[in-house]
Amino acid sequence: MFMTDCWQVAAYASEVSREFLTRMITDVPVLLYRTETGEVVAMQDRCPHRWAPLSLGKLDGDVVQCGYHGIRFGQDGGCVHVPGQAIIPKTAKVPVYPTVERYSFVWIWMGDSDKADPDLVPDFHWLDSADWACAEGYHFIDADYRFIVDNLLDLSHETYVHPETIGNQAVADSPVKVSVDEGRTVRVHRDMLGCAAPPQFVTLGGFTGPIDRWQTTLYTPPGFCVIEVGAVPAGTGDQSRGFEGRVLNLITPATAKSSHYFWAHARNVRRDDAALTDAIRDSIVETFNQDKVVLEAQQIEADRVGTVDPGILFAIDAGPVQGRRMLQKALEKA
Amino acid sequence: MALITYIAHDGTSCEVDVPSGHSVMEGAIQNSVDGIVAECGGNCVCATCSIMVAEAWRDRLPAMDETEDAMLEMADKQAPGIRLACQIEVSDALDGLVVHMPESQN
Repeated sequence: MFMTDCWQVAAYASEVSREFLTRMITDVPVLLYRTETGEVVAMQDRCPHRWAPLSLGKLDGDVVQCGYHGIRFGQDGGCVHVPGQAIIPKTAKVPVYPTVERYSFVWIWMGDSDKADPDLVPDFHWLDSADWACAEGYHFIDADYRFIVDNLLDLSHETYVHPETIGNQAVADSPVKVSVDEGRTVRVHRDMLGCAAPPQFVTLGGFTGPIDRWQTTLYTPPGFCVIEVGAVPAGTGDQSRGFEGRVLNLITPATAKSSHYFWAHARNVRRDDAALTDAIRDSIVETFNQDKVVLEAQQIEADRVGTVDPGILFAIDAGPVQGRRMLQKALEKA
Repeated sequence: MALITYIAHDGTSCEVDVPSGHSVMEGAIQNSVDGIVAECGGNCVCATCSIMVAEAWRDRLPAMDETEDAMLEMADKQAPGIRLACQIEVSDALDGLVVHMPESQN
């Protein structure tokens, strides 16, 4: 149920330091730290001796020392010392996972290390670009990552879940167009013409009247959704009086029923306005807190029903249906 | 306009005059013919309007497009003569069409 021969976000680069950071990723406990020269190490957080989490131990230079019996491991996962004996058996080693730092994230490859090509890191250049100002954050959601992807592929829920920030009737009332890019990315597009500007859009664009608004969700398995959003004053087509945004969603499964949700909102207007960045961040936190309530409640009921699939497929499910199909194809290829 | 015969799994037969431009699915739903569910309202998303087209008619219908084919594949319903009724537009040329509905659309 997890893709592992791919790069997934393990952490923000700023989270990884000389202190141990532990994170469950695709049902594997992972220990993250930096060496004395600042290099990121990702190691399974479990001593191969008696299974104690290595995170209960300590970092001594670049060596991890287990907190139970003092077994010591180097950054390649090989054991470098066993108290009480001279010989170190070859079996004494801990899996380590390739990592790449890019776009302010630490990316991790949980599958076959030989396939871990840094060129395969997905494109999230907006986080590194002078053309965009970003507000970032993170949510932990007690739900299967596929439910979060479904949520992002059907944005009609904005009308009902997010009326205080990004939703109004126009979203649910406007039909979507679904297609597939290059056989690997699902594209879900919606235009909303002559509609009211929702509160977050008023904040971002200063609109005083109706707008022409659009949203395009681009989903690439396993858990990457880029949502292209924007608005201009209705009927003007005037980009200079509007804004464009990219809502970036990077979902990494923690367990079968929980997920790490890394997100960022990139905007192309008032880029130097730090107070606006804070306001956008607060707005997204509020928005995703609302999703968290629904997703976690959905997970509980889905467990009772005994399925991860919907019970009914409406027209609004066109995006999620293609998303699950794309994910299934990717899982079968693995 | 076309006279379409909908045959249920238990053999019950229902003849309906369906206006041109409507879909075979709409002909069933609008005339309370059982056996077609149409959860997605005719948007080729749910595959709950599947029908088996009588052999004599299979080559006389508008061709299946990629979306319909993909939906039938996803629903594991691909078989000779199986179509999604929401994707078949009625015209005078379909007068006399006979379709069979499955026991269940699940």
